Formats: sequence, C-alpha cells, structure tokens
Amino acid sequence: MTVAASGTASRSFPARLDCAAEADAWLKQQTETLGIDRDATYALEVCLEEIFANLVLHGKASHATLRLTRKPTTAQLDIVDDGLLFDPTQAPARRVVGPLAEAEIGGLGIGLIQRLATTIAYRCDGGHNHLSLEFALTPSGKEHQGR
Amino acid sequence: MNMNVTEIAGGITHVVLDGRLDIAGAQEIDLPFATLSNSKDKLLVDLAKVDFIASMGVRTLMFGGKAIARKGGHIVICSPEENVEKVLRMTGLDEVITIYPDYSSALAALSA
Repeated sequence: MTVAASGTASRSFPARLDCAAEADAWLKQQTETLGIDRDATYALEVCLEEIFANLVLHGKASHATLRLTRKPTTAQLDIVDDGLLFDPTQAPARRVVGPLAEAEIGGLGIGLIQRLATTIAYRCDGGHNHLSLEFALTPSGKEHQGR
Repeated sequence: MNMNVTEIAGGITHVVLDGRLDIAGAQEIDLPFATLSNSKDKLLVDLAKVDFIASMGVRTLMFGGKAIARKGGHIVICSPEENVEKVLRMTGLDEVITIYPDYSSALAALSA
C-alpha cells in the first residue's frame, strides 16, 4: 500500500468475494486518513461493493487495484481490473418495478453507482477496465450527524 | 449480521436485522430470511440497527418480500438510518415495500 502526501492512497486486492470486506476496510481507513466526510464515505463504500461484486461475479477478474484521491471538493475512486471488458456508463440504471410479487431481482447495483457518483468515467486501456468515480464532499459544518 | 425474530400480537412477526447488509451480511441471512418469509404473512422488518446496505442487501429484502406478496401477505420496513434509506429509495424498493420512519407507525400500518 502507498499513501502519498498529496492525498492519494492505493492498493491491490484479489478479485474474490471474500476480499470485498478487506477492500471496504481499507477504503474506510483511507477516508478517515484523508478527511473524507461520512456521507461521501458511505457512497464510496456502496459503489466499491457494487463494482467489486460485478468484477468478481460477472467480470471474472483476478485482481483489482483501487486508488482513492482526496481533492478540495471531491473524492475520486479509481478501480482498475483485468476482468472482461465492461463499461458501466453504458449499462442501464435499473430500479425495482412493481408489483412486488412479480418484481425482477438483480441489476440494481449499476443504478446505485450512477446515482451516487457525481461523475463516472470509463476507459479500456491495455485490456484492463479503468473506472473513475467522483463523489462530492459535504462542505465543512454541514456534515450529517447520524444517530 | 444478526437476525432476531419476535412474534407479536395480530400475527405480526418483528424481524430486527443488526449489522451490515453488505455481500457477507446478505449471504449470512439469505436463507433464514427466506425461510421466515415463506412461513409468515405479516413481516415488520426493522432496519434501525443496519448501518450499511448495498444492492445485495436490497436483493435479500426483495426475495423475502416477493415470497410474502405471492401468498397475499404484507411486509413493511421501519427505522432505516438516513444513508440506508437513501439507498433503498434509489433502488426503488420503497415503491414496492413501504418504509416507515419508526416502529410504531409500521406496526400501526400492519395492524390495520
């Protein structure tokens, strides 16, 4: 793992479902170190879980590298993986459609990423997926206090 | 992830989920929650102690909700933390399972 003075941290993880919790723990630790607020951290955690689940369950990736960057008003999460090429910016943002008894299950993760991230950028480089997500930080003094 | 079940008056089952409804948490309660949903008609799912949910957790709630809805039962959710509720509403779950801000209002709705 590397943590730079510029407010960037990065680390690689095996692309296995049992490593999702380890990746999340790393992300949370970095958000604390970089001073990223609670709501942005929550959005980062949800998106990381959705991406991790996708690249393990559907992308057949062997590993993923995460990089978290703190900027003045945003936090940026970059994920590079070696799985099947997939551009989430082009995927449909599905939501639950009723009635409940007949509602389809699944495909909700991409919608969450598209709604929680303020910007999403994707590129394929060297046969790898490069996904960059940006999240707005809560201005100081307006943080959500929780329960 | 813990799941505590209490039977209350009026044939209502109060389910308190406790922990993170992430990939691991959802895997832990998928089977017991599905089993419960298949055997009960009125389920009050209390999320007050759930501090994280993503689509895998929503999926777990959906599976249970569908099982209850298919047999004409009723399921409601109560007391989600602010960010948990935000995720539930972003997925559209609130359009098929009503979310109440507290236990009392959810109980009143199920008892009606």
